[in-house]
Amino acid sequence: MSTLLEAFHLIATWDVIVAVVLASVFGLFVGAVPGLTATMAMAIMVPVTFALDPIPAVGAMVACSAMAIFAGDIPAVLLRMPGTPASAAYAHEGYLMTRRGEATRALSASLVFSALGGLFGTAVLIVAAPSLAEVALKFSSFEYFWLATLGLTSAAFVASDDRVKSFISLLIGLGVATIGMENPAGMPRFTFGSIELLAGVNFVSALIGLFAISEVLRSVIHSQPAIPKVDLARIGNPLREVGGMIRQYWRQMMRGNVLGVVVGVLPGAGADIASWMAYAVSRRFSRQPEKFGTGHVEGIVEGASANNAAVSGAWVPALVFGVPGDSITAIVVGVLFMKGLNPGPTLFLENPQNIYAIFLIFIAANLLILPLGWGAIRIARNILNVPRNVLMPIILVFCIVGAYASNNGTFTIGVMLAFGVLGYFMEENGIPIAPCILGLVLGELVESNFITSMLKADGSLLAFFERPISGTLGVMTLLVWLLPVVIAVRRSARRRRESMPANN
Amino acid sequence: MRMPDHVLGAVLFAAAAAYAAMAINLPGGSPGEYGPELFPLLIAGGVALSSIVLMARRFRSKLVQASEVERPSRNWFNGAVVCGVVVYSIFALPVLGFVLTIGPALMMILVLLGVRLRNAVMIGIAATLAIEFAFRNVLQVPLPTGPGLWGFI
Amino acid sequence: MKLLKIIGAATLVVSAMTGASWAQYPEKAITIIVPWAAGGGTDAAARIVGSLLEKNLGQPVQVVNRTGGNGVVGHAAIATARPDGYTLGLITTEINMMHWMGLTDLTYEAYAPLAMINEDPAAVIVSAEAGWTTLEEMIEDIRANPGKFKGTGTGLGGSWHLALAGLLNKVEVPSDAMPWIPSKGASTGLLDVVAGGADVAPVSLPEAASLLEAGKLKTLAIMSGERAKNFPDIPTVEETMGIAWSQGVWRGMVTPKGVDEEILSTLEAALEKVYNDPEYVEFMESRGFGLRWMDGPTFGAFLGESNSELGEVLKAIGLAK
Repeated sequence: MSTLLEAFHLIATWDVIVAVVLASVFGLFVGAVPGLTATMAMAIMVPVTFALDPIPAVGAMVACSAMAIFAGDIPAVLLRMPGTPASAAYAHEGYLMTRRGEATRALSASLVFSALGGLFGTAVLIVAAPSLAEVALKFSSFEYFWLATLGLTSAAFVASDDRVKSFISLLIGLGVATIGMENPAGMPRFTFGSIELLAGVNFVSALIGLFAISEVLRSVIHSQPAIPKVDLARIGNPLREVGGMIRQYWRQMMRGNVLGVVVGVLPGAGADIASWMAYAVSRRFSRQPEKFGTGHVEGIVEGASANNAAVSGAWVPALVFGVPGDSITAIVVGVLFMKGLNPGPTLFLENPQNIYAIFLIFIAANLLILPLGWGAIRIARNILNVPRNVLMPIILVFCIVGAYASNNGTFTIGVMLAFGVLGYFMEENGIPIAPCILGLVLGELVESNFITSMLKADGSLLAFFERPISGTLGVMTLLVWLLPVVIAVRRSARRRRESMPANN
Repeated sequence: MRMPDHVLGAVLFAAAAAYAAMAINLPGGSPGEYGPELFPLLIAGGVALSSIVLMARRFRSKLVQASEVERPSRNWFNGAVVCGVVVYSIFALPVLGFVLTIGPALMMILVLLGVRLRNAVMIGIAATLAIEFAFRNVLQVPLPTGPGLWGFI
Repeated sequence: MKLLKIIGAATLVVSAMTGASWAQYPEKAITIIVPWAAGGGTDAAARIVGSLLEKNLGQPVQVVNRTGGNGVVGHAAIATARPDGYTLGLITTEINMMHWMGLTDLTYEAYAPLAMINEDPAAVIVSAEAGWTTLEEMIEDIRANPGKFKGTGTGLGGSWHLALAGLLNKVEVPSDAMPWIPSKGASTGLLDVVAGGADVAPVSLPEAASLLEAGKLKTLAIMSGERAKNFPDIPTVEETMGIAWSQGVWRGMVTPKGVDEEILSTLEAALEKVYNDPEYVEFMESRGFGLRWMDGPTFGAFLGESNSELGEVLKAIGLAK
């Protein structure tokens, strides 16, 4: 109890409060601009933390990342341009809600469920961090292979009407992911001699291109029907609407939270994968699957819960073992070391008030999402009232800047344009772009884990089922694949039986 | 541009074939039998199969409906201008810096899309300077500078 | 008189136009290019150096990350920057490996060395549950069971791979006796050793610090001339096996070749002050990074030697093209 009080004293200082609030605003801004990602926000914060004391420094990073992951939803819903990769899974769904005049509902859902997801993740972090970390340590390439494959499978559930074209989109994403030198053999593939491509296709640029530039192109090439103007007078209390959503979708919320934490805890899998899988699960197990793809809030509930839960979950291995749970915590681990808060058992045992202080900041930061996010939503909705012919060019400029900033060079701008054109033609021909992003995100995970597992098993495929966790995941994946087939076969057999005349 | 499914299938098939051809020529990596060409070939195979399915599709009635409902005219010129501006920025940014590259380009696109010249100029200047300030000073992300006037242009 | 004035004015104009500042260097902001990602060790080192340089030189210093291609992109960017003294780079061991593997033609000779500021030796890290208690036991086990034990911790041909492969080469263990499992970074490799997917990760101690402390891993030896300050119980390779073997990753500051001599000496002096600054020392020690200083000429000579040495190891394991 006394440590808790000590911890409280540690955070109830102006340093911490100002740092957390400013960092939240910063994270909000960076997350909300398509082209700037949460990871970038963290990278920018690193030199800022030099000047801060340990607790404010960590607090700033916590607040920044939590806000940024939520803020990415704002442009995703309003403009179909995800502010961060984690919002890409349900960007289309949210945008459709905007077109139906339900932008506020979508954004309120994102706001509240993001905050709740983050709080859930924090609760798990506080209660179960060490034990969860132990489980995470048992994951080797075999387990990761199955996890990544499950992730790919979720593309099948996110599929729109045309299964074949969704599959093609996924394959395009996987194919693009093979470009570069980042494969187990270290062999440059499809780089055409370009040094810049050795690193592979810059993911942020591809994301901006596929979602934002293609939208800008579409906007200037076609005459778009106007988005219904949001009735700003009828702002209402977003919390009231959300109360109903919580009652209606609490199961989805919990599912999203749990999935998010689980994926987040695993090093190397973060908020973007979590939100994809959650959205897919939501669609697959929904009682109203036909509503998905028309502007339905259920998927947003689950996805927004998952990605913020994942952000908190990623801190589990980071705090317990200094192993980053995702790219955001990779940066955080560095800062922790720099500030003398070395991750590991000593952090928990010798100075528990520091850990408690961090936990308290987690709670505060996630709660802070609510007022700040609400303010941001109120301001952001006005974007819908800006005429398209002014908005699109400005977005174009932001995209160019974001692409430039992602690797401080102009090559990535070219990548962005290429993907913009690709995305435009894909959608023109009915090929959805969402599975492509999933392929880009997961391609390397699937391949590298497959090949390194093969290396370890000296070529034996059975090894994928030998380790206990790997075997379980493997069986689960196979079930996920085979179950729909089995069900379909049984259904058609039953239909055939029923259509046969009864024999007396 | 919208093309019928069977044509799309042919295009994708050709792309998959080219991709596979490049993959086969990859030197095998030192470890074991599962080399760097495995996954690309699997992917190419998947695309090839899918494109065959597409090619087998007739011009379904769905497609006819779609092309009736959707926009009849495409302003390719605007699209080309947008692409052109992006390409131009790739080469101009390191030389002219952010403000001098983006400012005029932004104004030009605004005018092209029908914004009144006076508004376009004002918005162009205001937006460019606002973004420059926000990135350089607030976000600490340096944008390219050109000749170096006043330290940031 | 008038002629002199004209000549004087012309000189001023010419020197202003050519940008060669005979006047006080530095006159404007300096950029440090880092070939690795933000938040990582190299990036953190660059940022602390940058902030201290800013104090010493009185001009803003900004750090720019140019990642990709296992460092090729960033190293190339440093080499092709304008040699006016306003772009510096923090280079790492990879510069002496990339060209051997055919990834680029770029070598250390593209730079003017300023100073080496840090070195982290490789340490032979294995699972806490491994049966070996000394380095010798492990090596003999590998020799007796070729192919059974796997190493990991970086990509194929990465510094840690070469560190261990070079050692094995030196004691005449064939290179395929210990297959290398490529991993994305030391963290992933270490996790794999803990999870039982691989057997040894010869990475640097700071990278494994937390897992070591948690008792999941143990260290058999450190590949360095002297014991590590933060981990004084770990013997060096020389102490435990009688063979002198030092390998690790180092980081050093450079400029592209062709920078003015005066500017180079200003930078070298400033960097020396940075290295001795207590803030730098405290930062490096808190992260467990190894402090190692070499001035410009020594660094340059070291680069040449290290280049040949690494070339030999790469050829021995068959990765050199």
